[in-house]
Amino acid sequence: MQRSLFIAATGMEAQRLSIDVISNNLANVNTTGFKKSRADFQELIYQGIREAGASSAEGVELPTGIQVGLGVQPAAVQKMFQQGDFVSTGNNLDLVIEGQGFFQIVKPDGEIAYTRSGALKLNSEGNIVNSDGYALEPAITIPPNALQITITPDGTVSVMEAGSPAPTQVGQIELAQFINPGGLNALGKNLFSPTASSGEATTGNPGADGLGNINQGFLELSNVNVVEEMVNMIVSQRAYELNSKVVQTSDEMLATANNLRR
Amino acid sequence: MYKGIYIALSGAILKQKHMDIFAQNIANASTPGYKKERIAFKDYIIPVDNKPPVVADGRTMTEISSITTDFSKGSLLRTDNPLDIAVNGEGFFALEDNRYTRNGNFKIDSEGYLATQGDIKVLGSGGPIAVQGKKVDINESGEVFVDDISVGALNIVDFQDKGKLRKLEGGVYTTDETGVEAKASISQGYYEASNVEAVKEMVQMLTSLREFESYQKAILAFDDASSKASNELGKG
Repeated sequence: MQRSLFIAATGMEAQRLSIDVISNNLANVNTTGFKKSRADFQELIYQGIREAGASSAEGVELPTGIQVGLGVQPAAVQKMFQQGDFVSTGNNLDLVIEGQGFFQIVKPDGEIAYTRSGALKLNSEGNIVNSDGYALEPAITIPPNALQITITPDGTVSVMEAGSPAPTQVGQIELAQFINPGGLNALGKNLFSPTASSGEATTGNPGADGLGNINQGFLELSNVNVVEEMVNMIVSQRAYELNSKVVQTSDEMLATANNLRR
Repeated sequence: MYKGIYIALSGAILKQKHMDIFAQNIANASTPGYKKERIAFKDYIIPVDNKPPVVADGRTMTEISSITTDFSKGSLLRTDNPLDIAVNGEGFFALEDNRYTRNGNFKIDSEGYLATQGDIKVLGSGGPIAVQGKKVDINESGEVFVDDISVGALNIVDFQDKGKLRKLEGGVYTTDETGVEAKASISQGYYEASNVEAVKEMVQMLTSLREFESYQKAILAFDDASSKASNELGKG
């Protein structure tokens, strides 16, 4: 049967994936610290019919070959780590990183995950945790009699205690960074885990080596740009349509061929 | 029998094959670095009695002579992703094992080297480029800096005869020829979009479809003629 039918089907499948990715981006347009994804495509293998440089029947070298492509496949869905906009909340435990760093969070299974979402909270024991109750790494405990929590750009956490004239330092926030954040594995819940492609995390105090300063009282919005996603959605939808026209045209050709016998 | 029916048939078969090319181009309309394909046809003379072709009665059939790649440039799209790298000008990124690509949508492989999405290492002036550190910057001449220390330069090569490049999966080409150094600048944070133009492909696809229909009509006409010859002649 006609190869073009199957090739166009791979094209439709690829554009469907692209729409899936775009819809996830749009659904998370208001998710704190969310990083948008992008679907990347690459060509499928080529079927060689005649090699370039082969000899023709007359013994002449043929300058070009005949290779027929078999369509397209998804190569990667990668995260894009451009910074999102900051919004002021005035909340003491809302933090943003002005740079490449990630907060480190300990999952219930003991593994460390990484996040850009700095909407932190206190649990009943006074530990700093994320919205799901997972503890910040290194662990920081705020004493129960604390009146005010201050976090400086270099990550030092200090509290004003009742009856004490000077603030007391209770911990130090450390950030992690990756050479290829695009290779991180998204775990959901705004968390990422390292992969071979992202490289190992290098940790340090905020402000050092491009890790970025911490700002207290702000949140990082998602980096989804609605206009850009809409444009991408239009492009993907039209590309999907275009591929469906190829299916339709191939179908018409086959119908024409079938009509040879009356 | 009429030989003409086979001539029309050869044309119809070609139009079907032409459809495969449109399908391939359109399916890859959003593949980074994809280069569209063009098909070329040639006519050949029907051999008489299996002897070498002779130009006698002017009847010719047609077949594919080549499928060529149109290496014209695609537009550069900005992504700000440090590992999206575009060749701005002629030339290909050199990969290991005599492989080359225009698709600069790279990643870091499990061994810490710069590689394509299909795990083929990108070659620099001194072999594969190890990218291990905190940040990677690539300047216009292709020199790669990891944490502000140079770790090599991307090897950008060009070929005089691009027709000998054989296409592999993932926008990768291979050839035994050694390329020449290309004059191109490198843009980090960009990728080259496919050079497929949807309108052109659509128009040509429609033309092809209608041509296919004409061949069908021609075949039917020959069929009618044969039918008349066998059924109606001699009826008196």
